[in-house]
Amino acid sequence: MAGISSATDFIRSSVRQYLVATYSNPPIKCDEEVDSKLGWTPTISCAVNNQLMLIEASETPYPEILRIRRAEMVEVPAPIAAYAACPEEAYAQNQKDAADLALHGFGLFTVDASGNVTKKFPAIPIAQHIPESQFKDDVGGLPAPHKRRAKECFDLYKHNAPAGVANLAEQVEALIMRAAKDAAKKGWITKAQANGSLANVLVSLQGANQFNNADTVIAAARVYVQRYRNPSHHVPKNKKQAYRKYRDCRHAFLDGLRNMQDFKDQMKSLGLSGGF
Amino acid sequence: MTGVSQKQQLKLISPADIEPNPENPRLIFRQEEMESLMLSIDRHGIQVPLTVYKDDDGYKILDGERRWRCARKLNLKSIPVIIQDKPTELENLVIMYNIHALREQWDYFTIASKLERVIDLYQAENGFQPNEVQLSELTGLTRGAIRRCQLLINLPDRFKRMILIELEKPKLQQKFTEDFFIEMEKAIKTIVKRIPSYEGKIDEIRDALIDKFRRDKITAVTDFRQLSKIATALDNLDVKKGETKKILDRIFDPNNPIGIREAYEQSVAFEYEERKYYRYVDNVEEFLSEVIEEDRIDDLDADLVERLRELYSTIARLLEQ
Repeated sequence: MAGISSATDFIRSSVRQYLVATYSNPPIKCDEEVDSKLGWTPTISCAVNNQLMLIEASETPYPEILRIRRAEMVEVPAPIAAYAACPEEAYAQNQKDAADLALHGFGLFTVDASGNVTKKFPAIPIAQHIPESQFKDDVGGLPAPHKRRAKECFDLYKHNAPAGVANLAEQVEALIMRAAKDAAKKGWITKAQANGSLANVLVSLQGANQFNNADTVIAAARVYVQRYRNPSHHVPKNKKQAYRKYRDCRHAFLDGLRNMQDFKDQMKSLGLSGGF
Repeated sequence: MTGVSQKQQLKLISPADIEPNPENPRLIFRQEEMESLMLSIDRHGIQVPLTVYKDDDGYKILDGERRWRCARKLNLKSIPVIIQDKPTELENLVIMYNIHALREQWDYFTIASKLERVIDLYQAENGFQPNEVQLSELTGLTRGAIRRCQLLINLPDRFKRMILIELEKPKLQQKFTEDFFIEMEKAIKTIVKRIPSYEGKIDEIRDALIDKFRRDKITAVTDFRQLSKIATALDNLDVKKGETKKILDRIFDPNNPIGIREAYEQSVAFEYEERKYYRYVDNVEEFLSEVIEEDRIDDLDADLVERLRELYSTIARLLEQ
């Protein structure tokens, strides 16, 4: 079946070959409906690593169909990671469009005149995409070291969302462990208690009178760390589970940033460092 | 030739049940125009039904391949179509030309590729080949467009394949476009007309020019116009055939790195420039004679008189040498 523009046939066959070679012959469909509710028939759809990679072959880096169907992609109960595939020259000449594409959570493949394909940047499932502006807004109140660590987690999140969430959960864990050390210095809990496992540390903190006012924040951090520390290890059993996992990643990441902020604020108000 | 039956039905059918018409001369669909049509269809739906005919295994498009491609891209479940009777092959082709060619600019190669078939079918039906005027009336194409198509039709198959491969590439990656071949063929035709000894070497000439274009020794398709001018200098300028042939041989020699522009500069550029100024001198002379005859010297602008003095002095310097 023909694509929207005849020039995309060359791009489609090049990307197809690339996918076959890179992902060991995964199931690939060309110009076929992905979901009856999605008003877009992508040039290529390919299930890889529990994600549904949808690729639009295009003469430009940011095809219109991706712009107009972004909202619908979020509604589809499948972990859709959408890409554009365009000529190398078009990418070189339209850097602004390519930057917008990345900013909006889409990935990009480029194809040179000999048919060689390069993945310029990856996409993450669109349901878990967090715009840069929202991230900046959410870390606005954090001090520099916290911001820096959050940014590292966000960079990882953009390429591998579950890993980014796990990393952020580890940062929240680090805040808890530091609070325990600070509390031990002040003699609110013992040194042995501060050096215990995370679960025991949380119990110790909640047991100390000085932390009475921080009960809600500690409980929230406890639930957060328990839930999200290892999400990348939980392999989804089907497409729907995969979609939920990726959709939850978005909530988890944003929730993690709020936990960081709340925990740091509360520890500071108790006279502790609130750092790592 | 019979027209298409007027029995028509309007129906809503799935785009999946429709196939493009294999006889559609339009092979190339550009993304920019397709996207603006797609956005319009997304907002307002398909306002004008497609025209299709029923074939053995589904429907074939007579008019509306662009709308159909957009409908497929937008995953539309059904689209409006007018169903017509199945036309004969010649009717099918002629309908396509008349529906499309007047509406938007096509690539010449796409027109040329099916024009040959129209000529063959016309000959089979009427016993003689259509001339340029008949072909123009039949297809709705201008005679100029038909002539350009003929240049492409007459190319050996390997060059036609080259154009098709290029056309299938995204526009930015196209090098050997149909414009390249049209300009090159025009120039070769002009040369062979004046120097028939090149007749038997046309394919070698094509290969040499293609190779030089690939290596950027020829930098633009418009350079071929200068190639034509080198040949027409035989008629227009006082240039000897031997000299022209010598410079053309250098251009057609794949081992000689000279490009068309360079060769043009080295050979006839000055003569052409000279001829241009000949006309300017004629015009200036004619104007000044009129001024003297009509006794309007005092009406001349002082600045112009000053410029004429400067010119007079330059001319005197030049003629004294």
